[in-house]
Amino acid sequence: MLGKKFSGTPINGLSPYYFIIGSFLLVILVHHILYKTRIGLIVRSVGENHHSAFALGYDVIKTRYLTIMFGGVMSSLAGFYISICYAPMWQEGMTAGRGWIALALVVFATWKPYRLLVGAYIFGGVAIMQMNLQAFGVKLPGQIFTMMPYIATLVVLVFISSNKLRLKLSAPSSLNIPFEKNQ
Amino acid sequence: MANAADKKIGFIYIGPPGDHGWTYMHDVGRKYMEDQLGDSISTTFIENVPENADAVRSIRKLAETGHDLIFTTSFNYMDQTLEVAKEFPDIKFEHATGYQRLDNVSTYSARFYEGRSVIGHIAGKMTETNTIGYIVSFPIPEVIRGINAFYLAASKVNPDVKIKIIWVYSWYDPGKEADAANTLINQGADIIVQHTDSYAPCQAAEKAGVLAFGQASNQEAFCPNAHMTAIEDIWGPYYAAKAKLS
Repeated sequence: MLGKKFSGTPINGLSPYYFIIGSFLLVILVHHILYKTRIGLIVRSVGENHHSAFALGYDVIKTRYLTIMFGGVMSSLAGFYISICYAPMWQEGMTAGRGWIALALVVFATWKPYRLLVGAYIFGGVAIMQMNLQAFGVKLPGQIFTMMPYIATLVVLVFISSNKLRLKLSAPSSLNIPFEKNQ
Repeated sequence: MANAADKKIGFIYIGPPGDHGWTYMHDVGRKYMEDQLGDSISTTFIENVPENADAVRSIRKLAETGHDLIFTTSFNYMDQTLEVAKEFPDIKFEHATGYQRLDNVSTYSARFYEGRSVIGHIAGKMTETNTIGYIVSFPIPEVIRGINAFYLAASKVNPDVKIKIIWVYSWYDPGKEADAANTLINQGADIIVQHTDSYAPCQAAEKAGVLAFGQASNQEAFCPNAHMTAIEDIWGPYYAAKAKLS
């Protein structure tokens, strides 16, 4: 084996406060860029109607790759938080499928940064609340507690998708449509 | 090098061998077996096998690729092990900590409750707030037996002792385990006990300056001040003995 073995090595954790403050700043920054700047306008137009954006002379493919890379950087920050602050260690499979929640959150937030913040705190809050209720000795089967964050997500998702028009208006209309120049 | 005449022995792991807990100790046992039996055996393991229908595929894969003896190392592989064992009557299966058997399926376990009783005694004597936080995975016999043994021993030396329990419904989720440990500490627990597989709870205890026990293996490296002792699972001699017999 080359280099240092990281699995099972204790990590001197960072204080989570920097991350918490940073996460709020990032949400504000992303919202500002998306809705208040020219770059944001280009990004949104590429998502809404790539042919029009292309006709206006924007490089659709480059924009899409760059935004995906930005998403990758944000996800890696989340991973960094897990292994540096949340549980300061590195072990294989330590995210335990948490990344899927990020996907659900985007639908939950209907692609709006501020709503994403609310959704993330509802989900995280319910997850912690159920542990506190358990430790207080509330007499309910443990399965119900473990289900709580997911039930909360489902209820909100049902509420949001109850109005099809609302869902349609909020999702980028070129979502999942590949861009081809010669069409 | 392995050759065709060798005995092939397979393992199904619930987590990664790098969990430094349950799966890690099974892997240490597997390596011990290899050292003891040398070239007469070859071993294979499949890690991170979920405790659902997927386990059937993984166990069957080992059975189909000529393994003579298969160890399935988690409680919830019980039905899946029996299902595959019925299809392959000539292959021997060993299921950890379960209670159902067949002609070619046997059960092995350890007297974990004895260890739980010892750490319960220690915890009962050591706690100052008379509150002990206990993080548990699933309500299966082995886990419930562990809680009871722990509580009986702790309350014998300290009648005022209280145990707060959090079920996380996962064997391995460091984030959730750390959250559970922090919740218990916030609610006044000054000793953290766990029946989940990562060392995150012990680490959370270290950070908060309370005491803890390691899980399945010696986890002192990750929480040198919090770590009082640990129940160590030593599977190697059993694995080696079974491999010799098969």
